[in-house]
Amino acid sequence: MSLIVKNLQARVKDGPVILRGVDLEVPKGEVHAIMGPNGSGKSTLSKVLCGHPDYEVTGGSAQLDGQNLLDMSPDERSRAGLFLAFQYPVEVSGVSNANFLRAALKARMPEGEEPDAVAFYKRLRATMQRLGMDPKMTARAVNEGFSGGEKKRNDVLQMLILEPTCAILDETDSGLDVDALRIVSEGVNSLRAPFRSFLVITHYKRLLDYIAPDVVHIFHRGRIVRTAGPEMADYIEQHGFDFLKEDDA
Amino acid sequence: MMNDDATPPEVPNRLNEDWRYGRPQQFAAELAARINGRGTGELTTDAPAECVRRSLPEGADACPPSIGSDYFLRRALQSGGDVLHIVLPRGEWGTAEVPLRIRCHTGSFYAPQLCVELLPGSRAHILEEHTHDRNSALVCLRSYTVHPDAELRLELRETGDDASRTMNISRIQCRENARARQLTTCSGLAWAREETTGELCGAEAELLLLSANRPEGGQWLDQRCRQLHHAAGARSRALYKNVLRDAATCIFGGNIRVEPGAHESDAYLSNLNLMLSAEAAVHSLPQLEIMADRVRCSHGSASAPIDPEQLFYLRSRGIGEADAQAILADAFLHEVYLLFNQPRSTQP
Repeated sequence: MSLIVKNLQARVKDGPVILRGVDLEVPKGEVHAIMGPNGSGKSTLSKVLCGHPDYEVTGGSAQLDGQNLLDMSPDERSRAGLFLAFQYPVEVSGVSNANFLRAALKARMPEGEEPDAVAFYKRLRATMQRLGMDPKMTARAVNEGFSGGEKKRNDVLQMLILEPTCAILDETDSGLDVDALRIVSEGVNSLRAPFRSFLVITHYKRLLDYIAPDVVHIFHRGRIVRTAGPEMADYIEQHGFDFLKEDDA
Repeated sequence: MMNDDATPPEVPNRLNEDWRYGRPQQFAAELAARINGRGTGELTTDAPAECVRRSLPEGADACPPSIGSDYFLRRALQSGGDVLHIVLPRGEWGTAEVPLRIRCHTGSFYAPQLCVELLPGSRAHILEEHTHDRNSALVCLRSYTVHPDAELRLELRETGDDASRTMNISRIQCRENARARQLTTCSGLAWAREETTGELCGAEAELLLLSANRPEGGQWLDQRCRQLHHAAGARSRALYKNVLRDAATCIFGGNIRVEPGAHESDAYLSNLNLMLSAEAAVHSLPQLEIMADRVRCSHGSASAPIDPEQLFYLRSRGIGEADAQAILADAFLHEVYLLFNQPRSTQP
């Protein structure tokens, strides 16, 4: 098993409860999709799993490869193999993309060691080329002045460089045009491997046409209420989430 | 930590003229009391010998107008140190740094005076390094005159230990179509006061005043900056950025003054502080005094902790909290170095 979440409950610090008992297992080698109406808590789940300080876990557990995520700081979770592609990637003025990624790689190395500069830049440029990114972006500040699509590509670039064992993609398709969606999806698919798992959060089936999921979960009112095969995405595309009203009733 | 006998400077008060215009009585009085004959220090330069004199020019007064007129400070300077007068004639001095070095010896007070003139059409990059040995005090009067069509790039680096104090009282005068930019950095000192008066005396003159600092421990950093627009059509910018840790304190008093007749002036003043500790404190008071028409002047000040979303973003990529904070602090100051180093035509 890669990612195992049991009865996870969380709230905004000093605020409302968002996650009301999430149960989820994403085995290695699989891609799971989470779909659900706006405000159901999908993005909160991704942030809570990555240790966002705005949220307080009030119950349950989350493990990655047997390690208790909830006992770890956000950076420890990342170094343990977890990655989050943000719904809204943050702009970091004054830090170049290249330096940012080098710092992230260095953080994974033993104390005192650094990534080889020549090999790093060679790999970085090659990966950017695969994602159709301008090589000049290595020197630009992280996400500063980037379009929405460029930010999403940049997050995927980071994922390809850091090679996590479990990647959460939070609405990575939003802001991408058709061509960018295909390129980014190809990048994600290139990382698919028997030792890696993906959790893909999306509103639309179009992303799942490129990144074929093994399982689709429906998220509603802070927990997973349905789990099915890829055909569930087709059903949602055609019928929407009206069937969840029956659950509410 | 600061010396027990070092009295902290006053915190800003809008009604306190001394604070606003930087009459540094406290520090100067203390220094004057410590003077016994000449101070001990060194004032050296690698500038070509034909450009260097060891006395001020006839009638010159390195002490900037309106600042430092306090009696005690004058007395300290009269009793104090050495004089260096450098005249750089027309030429490309900008291709290499012209170093100026001031060293203040252990346990001593030193009060040198610098007077530098860039003659019309000259270009110079001057690196001024002030070094403090243990427990020393420095008062330095600095006067830079940038004559018409000359260009000055001036970097002041002040370093010392946590028992030393320093005061730089500076004037940068830009004549017609002259350009000057100054970057000041100060590290390690218990107490540092840095005053700069930029005077724009000719049309099309341009001045850029920059400062980047990382006070920590119990350090006090006291910064005063004036942009005096005497002539019409001149342009000035000031950007002072500080990253504060521990119980460090920063005081900033900035003033843009546009004199009558200095129409079409363009000036901006900004003081930004990144607070890495709840114990750190900032007192900032930027001001405008405008007595001319058709001017474009504005100022701003902001002090805030690190953006938690930025911090989380870096940490979500595996970068530890301390390293992430250091990266974001470097990024915060990056703009200052960028402005100092970028070509003139691309300056804001």
